[in-house]
Amino acid sequence: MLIVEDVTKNFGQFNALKNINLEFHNGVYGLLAPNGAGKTTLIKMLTTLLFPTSGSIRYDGEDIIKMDERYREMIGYLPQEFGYYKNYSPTSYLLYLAALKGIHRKTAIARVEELLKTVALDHVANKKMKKFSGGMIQRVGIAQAMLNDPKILILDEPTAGLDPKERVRFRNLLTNLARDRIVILSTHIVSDVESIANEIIMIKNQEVLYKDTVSNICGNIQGLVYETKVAYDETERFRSTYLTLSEKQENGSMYMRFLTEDTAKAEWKPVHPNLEDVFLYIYQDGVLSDDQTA
Amino acid sequence: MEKEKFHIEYPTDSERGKQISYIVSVGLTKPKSFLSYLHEMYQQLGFRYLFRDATEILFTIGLALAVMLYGIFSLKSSIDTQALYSFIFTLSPICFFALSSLFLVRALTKDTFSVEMTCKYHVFQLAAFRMLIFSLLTMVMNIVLIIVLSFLFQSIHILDALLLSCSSLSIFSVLYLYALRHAKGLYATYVMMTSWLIVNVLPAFLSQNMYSMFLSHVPAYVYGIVLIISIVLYVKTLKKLIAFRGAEGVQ
Repeated sequence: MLIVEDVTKNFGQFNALKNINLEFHNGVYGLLAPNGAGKTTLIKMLTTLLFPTSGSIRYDGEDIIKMDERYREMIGYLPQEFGYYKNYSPTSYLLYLAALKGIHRKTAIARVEELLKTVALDHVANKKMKKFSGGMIQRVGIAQAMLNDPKILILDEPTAGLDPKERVRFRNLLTNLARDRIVILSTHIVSDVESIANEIIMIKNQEVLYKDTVSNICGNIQGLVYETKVAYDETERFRSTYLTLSEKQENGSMYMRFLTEDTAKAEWKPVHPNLEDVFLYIYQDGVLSDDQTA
Repeated sequence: MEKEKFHIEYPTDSERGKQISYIVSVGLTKPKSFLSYLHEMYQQLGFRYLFRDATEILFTIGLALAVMLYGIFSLKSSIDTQALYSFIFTLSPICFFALSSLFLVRALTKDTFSVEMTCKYHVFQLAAFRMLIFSLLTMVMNIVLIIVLSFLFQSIHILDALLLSCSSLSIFSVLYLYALRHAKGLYATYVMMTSWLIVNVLPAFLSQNMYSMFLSHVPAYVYGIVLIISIVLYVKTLKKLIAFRGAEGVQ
């Protein structure tokens, strides 16, 4: 079990995160927040790349900084900007990282072969990575994070550059892995985590706003989300009155999905809120959402 | 009602002793010595991964050697022996600086850094090993250059020159590691090198005689003591580099 207790992180005068308290068991955790909210700072603290200014992070009761290499041996990490050596092939790069992770060469060779198949890169296993697309590089990154069969898998924006098919494949892979390990997935793409995360963590104003299941989080705006048809010349007025969550043009009309606490009108069709609605409600239009919650 | 009697088998003294030493050995792991740590790292990573850029490193050493030899052969035969000593002292750490800055400091700025830093053997641990080897390589290179120099300038005492060169290299290495660990910003090491050159070149420029006399008149045993102290400090600082992550982490 990984516990984040009263963690605050300051960079000089700037407060990036304050009083963060979290508990992770086996399963997928989606860390969902807009860019700049402090996701990467939290991730870097979980990987010991940054140290908390105050508070502690403990794995099975032991401080992860004091655990040092014993902790690093059990984590897999994919950073937001995954670096690689252009003249290396996926096989040689993964074997190099396997050595750094303390994996015996014989075990590493078999593991690399297996992982390259898993991420569908076995056909280019010995090709230099300088010719790879962004998605292929990202898949090498995912493979390296799993090299040591980590107890804690930490992925920062892992689906960047992946096509829809690869995203589905990746989500299935994570669901499978999360049966016996902690998987922490940081993203600002709601669909990456909505279907697979056991719990979603949302950060706002440097603090944890929610840490709950998707359905419980969506329950917070239950009964406030509607869809309705709006005439074209009415759309501007509608947008300024309500928090619009999505818009769709169909058969010459505008279909608006929106959120309001006003009493429902007859032409409004109540719909079940999804995580994207919550995300937009919380982050995208701060002024309006603050007014509406007041 | 009759009381049930329990028979408890207590461990013997030797069994107790064995269990206590087992608990202590599991609970209190002995800190590894620097050398055993390096040996373990070498066994795990091997030459292939510790020096994955070996070709570039050898090229850099070759280039440095060629430039230095060219410099030596271009020296006028009339040059003062004392001046040669000041050259030796000032330029001995050049190759170490070039290798460390090109292959270590650069590693800290690469995108691969985050991934490498979260591995069991991280960038600074590799750096400690490589720095030790770089300083040994520089020492070997300096020895070769001094031998060549002694053939061209018979007035040079090889042992004095070697002692001077090794002292200079070890003092510089300690200062370099200190800058790497304590100064903010990766360019601190470049500032360090520039300061080293200024501190050594400026007095020589102002009064060549006095500076050279100072260097050549310091008794050999003083250089010996300085050398030993700096080597001890160097190894200690390298050990600290293994556990180094800075006060706020690494980024």
